[in-house]
Amino acid sequence: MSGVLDFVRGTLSIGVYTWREGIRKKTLIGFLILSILVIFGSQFITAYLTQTTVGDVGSDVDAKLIKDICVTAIAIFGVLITIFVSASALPAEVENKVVYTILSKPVRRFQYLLGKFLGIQFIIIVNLALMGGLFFFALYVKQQVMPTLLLWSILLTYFQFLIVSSFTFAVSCTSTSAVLPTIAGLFIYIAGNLTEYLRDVSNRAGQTEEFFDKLVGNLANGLFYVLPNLQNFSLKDQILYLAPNDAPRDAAIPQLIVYGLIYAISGYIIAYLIFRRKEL
Amino acid sequence: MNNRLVSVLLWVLLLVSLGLGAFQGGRVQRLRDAESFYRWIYSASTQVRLFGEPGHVPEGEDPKKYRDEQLFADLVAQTDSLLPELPEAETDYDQNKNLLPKIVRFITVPKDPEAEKSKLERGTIVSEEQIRRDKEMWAYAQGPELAALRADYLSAARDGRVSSVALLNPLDLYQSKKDDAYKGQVSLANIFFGFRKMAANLVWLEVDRFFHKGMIHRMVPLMKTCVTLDPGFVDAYLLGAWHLSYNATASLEDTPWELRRFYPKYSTWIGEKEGFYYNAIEFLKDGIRKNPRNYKLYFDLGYAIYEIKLSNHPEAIKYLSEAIRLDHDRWVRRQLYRILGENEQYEESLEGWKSYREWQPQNVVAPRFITLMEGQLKDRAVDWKSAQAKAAEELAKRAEAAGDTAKMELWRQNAATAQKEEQELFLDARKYWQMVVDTDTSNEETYANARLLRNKAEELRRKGLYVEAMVEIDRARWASNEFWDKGTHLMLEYKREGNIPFAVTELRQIDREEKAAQYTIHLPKPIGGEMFLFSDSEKTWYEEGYHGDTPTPVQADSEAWYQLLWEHPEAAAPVKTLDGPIVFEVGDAWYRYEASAPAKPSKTDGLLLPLTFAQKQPTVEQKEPAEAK
Repeated sequence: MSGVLDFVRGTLSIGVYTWREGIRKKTLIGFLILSILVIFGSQFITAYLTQTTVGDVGSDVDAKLIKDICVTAIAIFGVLITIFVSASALPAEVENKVVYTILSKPVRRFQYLLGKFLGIQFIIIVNLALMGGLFFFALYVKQQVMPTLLLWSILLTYFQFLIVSSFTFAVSCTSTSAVLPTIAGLFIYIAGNLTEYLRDVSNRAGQTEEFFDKLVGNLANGLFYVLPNLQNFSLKDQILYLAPNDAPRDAAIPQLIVYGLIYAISGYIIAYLIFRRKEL
Repeated sequence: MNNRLVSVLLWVLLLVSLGLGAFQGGRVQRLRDAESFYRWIYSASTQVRLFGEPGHVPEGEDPKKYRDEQLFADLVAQTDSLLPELPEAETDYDQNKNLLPKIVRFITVPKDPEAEKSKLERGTIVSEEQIRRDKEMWAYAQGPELAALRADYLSAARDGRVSSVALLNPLDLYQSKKDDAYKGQVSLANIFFGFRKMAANLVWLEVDRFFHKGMIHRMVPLMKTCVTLDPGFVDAYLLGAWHLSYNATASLEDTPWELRRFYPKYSTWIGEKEGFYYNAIEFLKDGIRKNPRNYKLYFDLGYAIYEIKLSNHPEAIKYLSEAIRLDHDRWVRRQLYRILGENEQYEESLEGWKSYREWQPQNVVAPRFITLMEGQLKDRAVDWKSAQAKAAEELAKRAEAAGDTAKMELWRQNAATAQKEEQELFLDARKYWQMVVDTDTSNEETYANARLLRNKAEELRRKGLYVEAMVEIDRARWASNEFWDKGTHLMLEYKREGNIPFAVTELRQIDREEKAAQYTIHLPKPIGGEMFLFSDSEKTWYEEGYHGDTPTPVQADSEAWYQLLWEHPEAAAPVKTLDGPIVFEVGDAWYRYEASAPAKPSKTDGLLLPLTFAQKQPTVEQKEPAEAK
């Protein structure tokens, strides 16, 4: 029992230490300040927009713009923070040799990696909470109604980031500098959003009835299902405009959470597979 | 543990997790597909109720490309046995008075008036039944019952063959639209990495910039791009339609009739200015197809355009009635009930205002309109009684000419009774309006004052005091803006009746109206809350809802006609307004009024679309007037 406790305690210590180190990074703070400025600034972008009241119906166009600007700001800066943190946490320690000191102590590689991963997640969650909190406040000021659906949107955004983070983290295990994993992270995000093209390829394939045509179609179809599809999380954008009783929403959220978790585990397993064989 | 074994174990775990990911991805994908199917069901069903078709073929495209009709027919066939029996509501019938398919009736529950008495918050679904039905429909949309249809729909949607689905095709933004290019669409959503809505917003900022520069012509394509990028951008639809129908037309004069073109699709003549209104209508209808559950789109379409800009009460009522089936703000009902009154549907309006007063007891508008509607009903009762009295007098004259003394006595007696009742009703109505005016301390009841003055004028007219009657009518016109047009026409009527010469301005107005009538005389007309449509081929008017039953022929100025008027004085209204033969329904029976003259020639001759509900093969008797002409 004490072994398990020690494992948990050790992992959390590494996580907390990763978090402390992470929040000191100027780039990360820069991204956060920028995102907060954009979210705050969204209130002013809409100030000069033409409003209308046809009959007694007022326009909600400014609220929509605020929602979209904030969702986009959170998505862009959030994913940049996610990639940056996930890409740099491990290579930085390898580069400044801290990893050797830690691993020379009774800390397993699995435990160390898990601690780093949890620390990264903690940084992402805190940043997301800060951005989401400000967004929540901005929207509340605008509409005078608690935007509760926003919380679901932020939650789904986190699980989207979790997938990007886990795979970026896996790439970072192969590298000694943060440059390659950062580029890889951006690629993962872009590719993850373009996964649906594979389905389009699959739909278009097979028209000539040739073997390779069919093969490409089947391959694309297989990859479409195996690779994570970040477009599945598009519900996070739609959710802000849905009616409270929109039936599909309730069904999709738990499925997406499970989806995010499964790919996060896959990413972490890849990371561990690489890290355990890494010569340190 | 053996290092190799751990490696193997990890690889196995990785493969399992990726497999689980693929499995879960498949589940999520199925959910997304089911959601798309679910939203199509809502959109198509709403379109069937409102537009009479489940999809809309964009202009210039081949209708054969789209499979909406066939998919919807399959949906109707399959859901007919799946869905439970539903109680029928008044709004569950199409314009031909046919009961709508069960799926169409199922998707939107008519609002429960009892539930609405509770405080209505925006965005709150009041009806528990609606929530239950939504869940049930969602279960069908993702369940095995409709699996084959769902697969069929998804395949059609992927090929771009479902017109109401907001699946974005990059080709939509460019000129080239070859058929084969649609095979296997690429979702435009991906191009923006999930920031499609933001792109739409940036386009909207451009639209706004052009609006401030007064460059309307540049706004229109951008507005369309904006909603292509984000079909859920309801405000873009609302503001876009507002720009088109209000701002773009602000400095334009009404197009002269001779410069307008007839559009059979809209059954009206459209010029440059009116074109903006119809563009706005199409824009909002597109919004409704993509967002069938947003009341604002229906409200703007019904109130802001059909009512305010086109004075088309029946269409305004149609869309406002749809708006109140959904969650809506309080004013939506107020406008609906007001327009019902404008459309001479006084009973419905009164009933609506009464329920509104119960729902919103603090509202000051409802009691005022209840008073007005009750007064209108009293005035109408006078008119009907007057028509009855005249019919009885006429029947008495005919009996006298035929030497049937007993019959003559009977009709004279009937006429006397009707005249007495008419006088009583007239005094009652006058007393009523007087009471309304007297109790109006704020001096805001201008319409009641106008009605009272009108009654006084009518009394003077009956005495043959036309000049005095005209003075009262003129006072009524100045008392209330709402009464101006009606008052002006009454004044012309008095002058004609009293052989009083027209003023130059009046002659010009008559000339203007006669010129306009050449174009408008056979356009669809609402009379007493019922719609009348002109059949170009048969040169006959048909009341909406005619199913092809053989109507009882009634010759104009015949004994049968006066007999009908005695029994149903409301039959006088269409005959007074329309030309040529009229097929109408009174007291659950269909009649064909054979006018003394055939329908007048009109500029719309040969241009109107054939009526779908009109009798396909008219009887010989019915053909006669057209052939005689």
